[in-house]
Amino acid sequence: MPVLTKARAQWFATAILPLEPQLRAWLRRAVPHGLDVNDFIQEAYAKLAGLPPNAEIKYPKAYLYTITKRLIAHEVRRLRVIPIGALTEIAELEVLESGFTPEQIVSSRQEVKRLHRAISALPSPCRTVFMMRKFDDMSQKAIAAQLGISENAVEKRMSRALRKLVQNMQLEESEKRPLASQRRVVRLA
Amino acid sequence: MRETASAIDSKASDWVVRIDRGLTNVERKALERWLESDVRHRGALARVQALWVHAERARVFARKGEMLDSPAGRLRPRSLAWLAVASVVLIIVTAFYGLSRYTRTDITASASNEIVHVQLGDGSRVTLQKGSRVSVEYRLLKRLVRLESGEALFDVAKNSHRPFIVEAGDIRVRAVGTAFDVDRWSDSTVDVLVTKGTVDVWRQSKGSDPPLRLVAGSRVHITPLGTDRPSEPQFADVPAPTGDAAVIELNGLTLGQAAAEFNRHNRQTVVISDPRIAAQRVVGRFQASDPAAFVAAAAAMLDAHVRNDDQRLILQPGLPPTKK
Repeated sequence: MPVLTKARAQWFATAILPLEPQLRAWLRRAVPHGLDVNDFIQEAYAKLAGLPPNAEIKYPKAYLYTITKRLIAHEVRRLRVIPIGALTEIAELEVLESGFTPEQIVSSRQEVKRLHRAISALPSPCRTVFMMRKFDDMSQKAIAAQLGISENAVEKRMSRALRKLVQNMQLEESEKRPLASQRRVVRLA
Repeated sequence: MRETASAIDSKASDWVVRIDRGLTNVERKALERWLESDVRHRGALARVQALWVHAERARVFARKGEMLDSPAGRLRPRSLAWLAVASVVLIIVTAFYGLSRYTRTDITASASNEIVHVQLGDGSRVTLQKGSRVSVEYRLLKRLVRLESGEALFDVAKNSHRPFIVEAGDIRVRAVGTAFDVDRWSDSTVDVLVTKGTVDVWRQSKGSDPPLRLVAGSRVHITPLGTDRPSEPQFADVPAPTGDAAVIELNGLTLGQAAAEFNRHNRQTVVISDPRIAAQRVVGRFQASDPAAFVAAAAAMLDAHVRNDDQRLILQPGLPPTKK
């Protein structure tokens, strides 16, 4: 079965996706110049998707970062170039897993809002079919019947909605998260 | 030429939609070939599938046409404003302590990227999301917290003689000993989520209606048009706070003592150069792993600034050297 089980997708959605903005911000600093951050994210997800279905990851954050660090180290070795900074950044990273903290609860709410904004920003024909599917639980077939368009058209709009959504979520991230190095600059208002 | 990550994301999106409507045998084989051809394909598919499942969680906001009309529903273009905003500091106003029965405290988390923890005089804790503001008034018979804007998580110390009431515009939330989060969208639209115990929610302007009772794990979205049925408790979504791993609580420690405490937990050292600053006493609550938030808060309180050289966070008196 090449496809994620529902439970696994659920796990990804609650345990991994919310970590992505932070991971991405870190990667932007850690990844050697000229390499695409998104490549590493996709590869890290591939590793996680390859886990046996019954594998239980106790510390998803630590796990995700460890995997990603290894991928970068591997890439750095492969390139046979050691960019200044990359390795120290990798060594610097510390991951503290502290159970469910108030931050995590608040940030999980932020995550839902982020999603809300990303969906709201979809072009309206796509958004309509997307919302009918996801919020009203209608099948693609039923949506086609209700809107009086072909199933193929529904599928096209749905694909477009999802593609845009993937982009919007990333756009939000780069907008919302200043780089950690900027975050560290502290100045009086 | 290597396929770009965003091209892969697009294809993965198409596959997720096809999987959702059901694959034909031919497609199933094509999908398998696609997944075999590059390890990133498998990751992108997993990620988009997760997002597909994840999207259902936005359902709570999708009611009553909000999604369609929301002015917030536009992505702002990337702006330089963020750089400015990112450098603004959190401010903690020292909470009034002691025996006084009537106190008033304002707490603001300015538009920085950090989250602010404050412990109140009665032991209750408030976690403020960036850009949020509350004012706390302790009266003889009740503890009153006004959420002026934004979002805050409350962990309420038990005291059945003085109920803890949060005002967010017209909406009121009452708790005795419990934890909950209030997100003020506007004067009349509020989202409440309970993580522990039970709370009552009502509209002040409809005081005669019985309050709505919410139990741990449920959330409710209140708009001028009405109130959604509270969601069923969902602990996968809203974990109850457990333990306080790696939190440093400062109840009147001096800054010097507090810095020593952070330095036990972190490699980046907090250094306070001025003995007068080091002798100041502070109140607050921080992630032990986040000394930067602590020094930023201290700097804002004491007219100091922070120099960061990666090894050390140095708190120095006076304004920072000008740098735009």
